[in-house]
Amino acid sequence: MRNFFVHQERARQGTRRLVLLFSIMMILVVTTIYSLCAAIYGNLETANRTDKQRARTGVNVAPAKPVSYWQPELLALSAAATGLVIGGGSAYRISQLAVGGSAVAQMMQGRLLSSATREPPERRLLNIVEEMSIASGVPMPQVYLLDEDCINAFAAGYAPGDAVIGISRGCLTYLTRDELQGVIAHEFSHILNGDMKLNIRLIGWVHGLVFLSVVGYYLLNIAARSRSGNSSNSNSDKNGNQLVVIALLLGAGAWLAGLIGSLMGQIIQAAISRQREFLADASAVQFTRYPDGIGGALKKIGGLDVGSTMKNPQAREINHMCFGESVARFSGWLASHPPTEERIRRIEPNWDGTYPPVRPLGPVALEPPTSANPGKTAPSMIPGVPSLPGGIPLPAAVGVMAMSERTVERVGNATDRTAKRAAEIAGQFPPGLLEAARNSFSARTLIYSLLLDSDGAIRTAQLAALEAATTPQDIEELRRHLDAVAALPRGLRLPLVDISIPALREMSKGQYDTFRAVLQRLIDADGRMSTFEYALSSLVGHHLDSAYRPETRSNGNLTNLRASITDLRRLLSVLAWAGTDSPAEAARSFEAGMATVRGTESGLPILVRADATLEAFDAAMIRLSRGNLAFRKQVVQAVAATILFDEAVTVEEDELIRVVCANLDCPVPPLPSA
Amino acid sequence: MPEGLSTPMIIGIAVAALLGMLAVFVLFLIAVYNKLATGRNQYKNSYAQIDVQLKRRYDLIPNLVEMVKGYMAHEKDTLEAVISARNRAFGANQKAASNPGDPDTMKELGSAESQLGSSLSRLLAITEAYPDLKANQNMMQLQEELTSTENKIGFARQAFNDAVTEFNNKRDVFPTVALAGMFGFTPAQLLEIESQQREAPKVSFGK
Repeated sequence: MRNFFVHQERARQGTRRLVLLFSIMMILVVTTIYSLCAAIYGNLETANRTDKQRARTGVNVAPAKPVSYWQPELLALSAAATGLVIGGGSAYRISQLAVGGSAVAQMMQGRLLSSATREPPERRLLNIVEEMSIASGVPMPQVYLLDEDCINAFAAGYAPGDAVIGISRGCLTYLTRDELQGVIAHEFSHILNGDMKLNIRLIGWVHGLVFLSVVGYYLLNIAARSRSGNSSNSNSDKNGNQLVVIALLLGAGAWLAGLIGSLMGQIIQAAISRQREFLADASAVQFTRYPDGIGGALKKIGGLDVGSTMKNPQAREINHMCFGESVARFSGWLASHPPTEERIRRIEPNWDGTYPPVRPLGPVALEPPTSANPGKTAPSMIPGVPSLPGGIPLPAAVGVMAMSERTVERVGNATDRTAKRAAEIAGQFPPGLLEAARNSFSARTLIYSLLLDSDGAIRTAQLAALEAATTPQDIEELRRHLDAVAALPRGLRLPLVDISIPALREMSKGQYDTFRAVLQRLIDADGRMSTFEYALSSLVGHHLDSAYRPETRSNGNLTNLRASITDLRRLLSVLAWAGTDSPAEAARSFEAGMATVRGTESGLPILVRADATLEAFDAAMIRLSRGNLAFRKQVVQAVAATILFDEAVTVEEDELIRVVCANLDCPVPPLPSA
Repeated sequence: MPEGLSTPMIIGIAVAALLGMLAVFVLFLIAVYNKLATGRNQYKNSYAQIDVQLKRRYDLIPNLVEMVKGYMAHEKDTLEAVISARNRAFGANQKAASNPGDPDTMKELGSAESQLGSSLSRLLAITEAYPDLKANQNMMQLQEELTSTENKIGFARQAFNDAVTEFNNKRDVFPTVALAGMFGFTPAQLLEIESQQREAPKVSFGK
């Protein structure tokens, strides 16, 4: 998790490099086209003037005034035309992908796997993704299956809420469960590191250049075909021929310029993504604590004839988002992935360089849940680490500690996220609840029942509201899981929501709007909003809005945290009060948080409890979520410092930090056992 | 600019304008195609959710029939009706899954499912007369699963029909409708199944 911001920083540098390189390229392309136009114009104008001179003087000499290379109107015209073509191509692709990760998956002709699937290989894959989701704190993405025999995968989307993972069929055929897990962990780290937005922009911009070459190619074809053998001297035919020649030249020029441009685009892809791939491999090993998993997958890619190469022609565009190189290459310079051997050696320094034979595996048998005692609460905590009363696992704390620079040394080696631990957590859910979380109909009712209050009177009011707002079938389904949900430890409730996200994304827009309306009625039923209600509503809303209401996605513009100090004050005040009832303690926690932001020493005091409301928290957090990377990093560190100051993390604090991290798109992993 | 536009200049402007218009037109065509393709993918993906639940239902029904057979062997007609309806629906779903939204497959599936629903209803109505069967734990569990699956089918069907409607609306707009035929995007068909009015159990949350 400590790497999260480092990676994001690199991604930001990558963006700057991308913009620079792209601008240079644009200038080069426009200059090329302009030079071509100027040359054509120059030739024509020279011929024109020579003709005129000949007509006037009867002498065939070169004109006195040579045609200048610098023709501002022509420059403007050619620049505009080129810009229109490139810009149009880019804008088109970007808007096509604006829907979110699913657009990329559909571009690759992936098949959406239903979250309720029972096919054993698909079910196993989704189980692995579920476990990864718990391990990383990222809400579970939708999974698409690609019709490719190679071994490859990709992750795409703008935010964790609309993220998808694509897996090739070859992965299911050839990889063991551990190897699949390694690949999925690699993809999750891409989602975690926020590479996705940059990736989509990259696809869009490079596409503009490719489009230029396509347009040029067609122009060339049309011109070549319409070039009749007409070589008469009459003026109109001459102009006609001129037109064809111009079109021919321009077409060729555009085609070449576009080709060179898209070549440069691939170089840019390579420059940005090679570094990231090593980091993603390392993160995957950290996640799974099992280097043989991802190492095994890489070896199988090396050992398989087709390797990771995809048949789909669009594979080139998403190459930088894939697990392995998706396009067969002759030159390593353009590769957006480091060579497979190098990747294997980084994970396994003692590798002997041989690739074991790759064979299709037999039919898949689904493993039973790993926990021997489903429903049992977590074992003992790591010494020195804050805990909830009752020893319930703390999803937020360790991730937070890893992010807070102050405490990262204290936690040290003990905080390895283990996928095995995530599988244990998954095993603690009663199987009926997991199954309910895997299709949209029952996942909805699961969320409804999570919101039911334990207080009898409020519960009755909520059930009455439900009966009025939903169908008898919904109530029927709700009743089936009521007891299991009521028995669920509070620390597992929000993880259950995270697992339900892909099923909830299967709803239509109309169904989603109804769902949100019912949620609101449930929350309003008791006239006040508890921290859990707020956390659940915020999480569900943020992740699903990213998919259903893409227009609400915010852009990170704010840079100066000091300018938003009043919002930070609200945020930290509410968090401080969530941790204690004592005003003195709250003030100290608050100060600890404020102290992490430089320049606030003489600043504002903590808000009085009456003002530290959830409404204030929510408004402040939404405004703060519009910050850029560095801004959000500071916010999260301040939040972490506030919560950890008193060394005991309450349930409310845990829920609130999940909300903050989700809304700021900085995911939080669960606590591993000692 | 000096006196009037020179010929090469006019040619240059003409070519640039042509290029520009060509580019815009091509982009427009591509945009229309992709909008329709996205809409179609949406309802195809929605169908996948129905498919999963239907298959679950088709798996449960033979178990139901086996269980019931022991108690009411003489009701052979009803039982056979259920099995044959189930098989018909199974086949219809397979065709539909490979071509969701196609008018023929949707209508066939709709009619097959309606038939299955009504024969199931009849069977379950008959079981009311067998208190031993009704009290059987396995039977109760199976019935509950069946009901739950049917609810899931209903909800998924609603999402599918929403997606189909959205696609058809996008398609029927001018000028998209003129191009849709050329691109091969035919109107999609809703999936309509006659719902069997089953008695929803009275819910009491008395606690």
